[in-house]
Amino acid sequence: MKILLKYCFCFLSFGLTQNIGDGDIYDNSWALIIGINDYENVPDLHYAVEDALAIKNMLINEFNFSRNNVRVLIDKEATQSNINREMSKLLKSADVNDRVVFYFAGHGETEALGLEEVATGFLMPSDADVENLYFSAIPMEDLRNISKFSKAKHMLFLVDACYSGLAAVNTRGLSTNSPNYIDKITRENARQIITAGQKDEKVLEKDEWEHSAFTKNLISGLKDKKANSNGDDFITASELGFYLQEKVSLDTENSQTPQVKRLTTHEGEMIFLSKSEKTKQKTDDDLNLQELVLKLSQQLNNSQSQIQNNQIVIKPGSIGLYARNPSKEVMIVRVFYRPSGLAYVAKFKLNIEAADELSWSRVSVIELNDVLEIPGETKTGIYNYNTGIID
Amino acid sequence: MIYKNLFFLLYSFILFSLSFSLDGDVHDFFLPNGLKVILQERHGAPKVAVSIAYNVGSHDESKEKRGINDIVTKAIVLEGTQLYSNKKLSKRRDEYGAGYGDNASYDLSLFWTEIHIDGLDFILDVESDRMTGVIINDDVLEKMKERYSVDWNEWKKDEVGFAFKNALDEFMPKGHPYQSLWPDPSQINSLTTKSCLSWYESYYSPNNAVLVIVGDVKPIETTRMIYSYFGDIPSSDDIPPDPSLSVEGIELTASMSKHSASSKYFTFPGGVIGSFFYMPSAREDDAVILKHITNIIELSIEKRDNLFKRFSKNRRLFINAEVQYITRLGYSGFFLYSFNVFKTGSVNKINKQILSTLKYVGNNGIEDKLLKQYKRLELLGEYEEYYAYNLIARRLIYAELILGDYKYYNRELEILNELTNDDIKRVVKKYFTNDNRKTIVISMNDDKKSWYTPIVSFVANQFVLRLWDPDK
Repeated sequence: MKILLKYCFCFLSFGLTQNIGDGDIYDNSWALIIGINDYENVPDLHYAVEDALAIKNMLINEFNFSRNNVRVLIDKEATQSNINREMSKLLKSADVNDRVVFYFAGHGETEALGLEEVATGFLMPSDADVENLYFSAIPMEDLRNISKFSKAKHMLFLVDACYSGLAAVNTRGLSTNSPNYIDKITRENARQIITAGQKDEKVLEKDEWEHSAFTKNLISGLKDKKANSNGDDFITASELGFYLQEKVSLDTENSQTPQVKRLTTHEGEMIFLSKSEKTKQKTDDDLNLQELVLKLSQQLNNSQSQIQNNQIVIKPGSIGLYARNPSKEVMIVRVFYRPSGLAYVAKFKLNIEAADELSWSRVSVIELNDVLEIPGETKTGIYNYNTGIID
Repeated sequence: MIYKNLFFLLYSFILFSLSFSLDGDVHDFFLPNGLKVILQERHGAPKVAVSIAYNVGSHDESKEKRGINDIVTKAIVLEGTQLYSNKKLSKRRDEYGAGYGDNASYDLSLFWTEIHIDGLDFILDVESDRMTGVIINDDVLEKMKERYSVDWNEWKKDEVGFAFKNALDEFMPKGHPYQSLWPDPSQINSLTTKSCLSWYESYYSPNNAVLVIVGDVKPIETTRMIYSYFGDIPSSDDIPPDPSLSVEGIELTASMSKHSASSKYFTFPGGVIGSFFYMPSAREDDAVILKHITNIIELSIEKRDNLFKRFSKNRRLFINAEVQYITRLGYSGFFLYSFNVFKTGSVNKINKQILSTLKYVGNNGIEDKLLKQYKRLELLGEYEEYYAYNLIARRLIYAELILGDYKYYNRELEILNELTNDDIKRVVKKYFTNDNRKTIVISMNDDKKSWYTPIVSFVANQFVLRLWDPDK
């Protein structure tokens, strides 16, 4: 019976994963997203907040990032101390089989420090002081250091900021022609960074785009799957980077060239599960709303299935007592099948001056063990998971 | 075989329904965490209304926690969350040109937004964030208490309005869960951060909420979004059951409440004499009929037609009046108050006339002309509201939480279509009785009365005000 049920779930999930899904590569996905329009000491930006919120929504809606694992800092929240604190939390939360995305949209600055011949790049938090960059901003080099402290399998830094090219160093990744390429890049660790431009370049944002050139193309590359250059099921960070290099350069008439680099020698790739538009459309068309609700519920409860054979339940139409307040009567309307376990859809008896049939509450979901049987009155049966019928 | 089993599983999992009375496809389902979702497709305008209501109101407050729901909803609306502070939220809403509001009443707490369809994603983000991340700490509570106190003191300056509040509060049976929506600030000040936080965590949870979305939505896409935003939110396992809202066995209040107040709007003496009648639960069809009768009386006051003339004895007893119907899950209330200038009026005469007019309606019904006019106006109102998705969403929520099922969404209109004078006569006879009536008397600006006031009053009321109608 369990096998049959699993078969049903597999059947329902057919459109989501053809061969492999995000869940097969990562246990959890985490993100820290920062967008700053409103600066205390430097000129404001126009679309950094929009950019950040759009990225957040895209990760949640398109790439299965759990809402609880996506942290967003906007404008005045995005101070140096808050960014460091959230970064630290993120590093502690992400485990060995997880992925982490860090996105920053705001100002960047460059300064030559002391004996260093090469200027150092900084990400500018909302409270950054241009006169005191080292102590008030986030050195781009810190991104590399931060990436070393995390246990996460894959980390991707997306930096949409001026002068942001400074953080990256050149390291080769695996060739796509390597044997078992997908298997290798998903198993290997990765620390990758894509920046909006090289040093001495400034990032461009336009009213007509309502985004920066970088984020506009980042969204089209991932959400619209345009970065999927080889037409497989995945978009890798490298594919995304090359797409951005081409498109951002085009949009900005070569005044901005995104940089795609690795921060360490690891050869893995951050993966974004990609389905061609055609496949996606077919999936959605094939599911009606009922099937979709079941499929989405199944995804939510994937790891929690508690199916029990011979589950005794109270029959619809029968009355029991609410265990949390046994003076309250509960009328069972139906048994609510959830992938995480059965529950009742039931009504409470209200104590109001209305006719008996009108004095029941709206239907709500009540856990099975929150309803007590009234001996001799409550009718029970066994829930058949195959048929949904209570025998 | 698989298809057969699948069918039963699906059927068991979700009960889909297409409402017959609603215009546009309606879908409803529960998320596994217990959030009830009602989706109505209306594609006439590129906008969407998103309303979320929690099954909690002031009726859930114990004596020690009076005002707590108001304070928590204020924190939700005025403080917001880490991600969406009130300031940021206002700015973003303005960018989308959104209309929005909230309402914490006796029986439910509601947050609504109407926005261009492009803003749906944003609003779902906001509402799901509010379900988990509202900031309630010592600083916030202090701010809310301070604000309450400021509002209270401001309101107190309007002595007439405040007298109304006090009178209506007095008519709430002692010991019943329906008590003042505006408790004394000392009660608010006794609330603790811990109790507010616990209130928020218990009641503002998915399994105590209904999410209604009406507008230019694609069900598949919208359902995916709903799962993204709300699916991970844990349900609450300690929602207290609804309290008893019955008045049976509860001592009813005094039959008259008298107040004296200074009006900040008028500089001359005057008075208000009102009749309050207890009415049945919103669940009863009679409550809907009574609401229609209230609206008909309102129309007659506005039109100065025969019914109003009968109530006011051709404006000799009072020059103007207003009516109000308060709908609640427990008992409801009907309120008619008369208004006079230069005099308060005779309580006995006005009370007698109001009751005798209602008795007349109980025996003879409403004039056909007025009833027809009212029906036509209501129907026109329906057409006008066709694109007011926000009103439709709120009606669905009201039906779901107060009437017990959103499918009763159109009940008022359905009953109106069938409404006859026989129905009107029956309910008027049943509910408008002297035993069921409380009287409010508010005399205004007594300090402005002088020896010549009775003379001015006589001249003004007999020869000027009675014949003068500002609407004509």
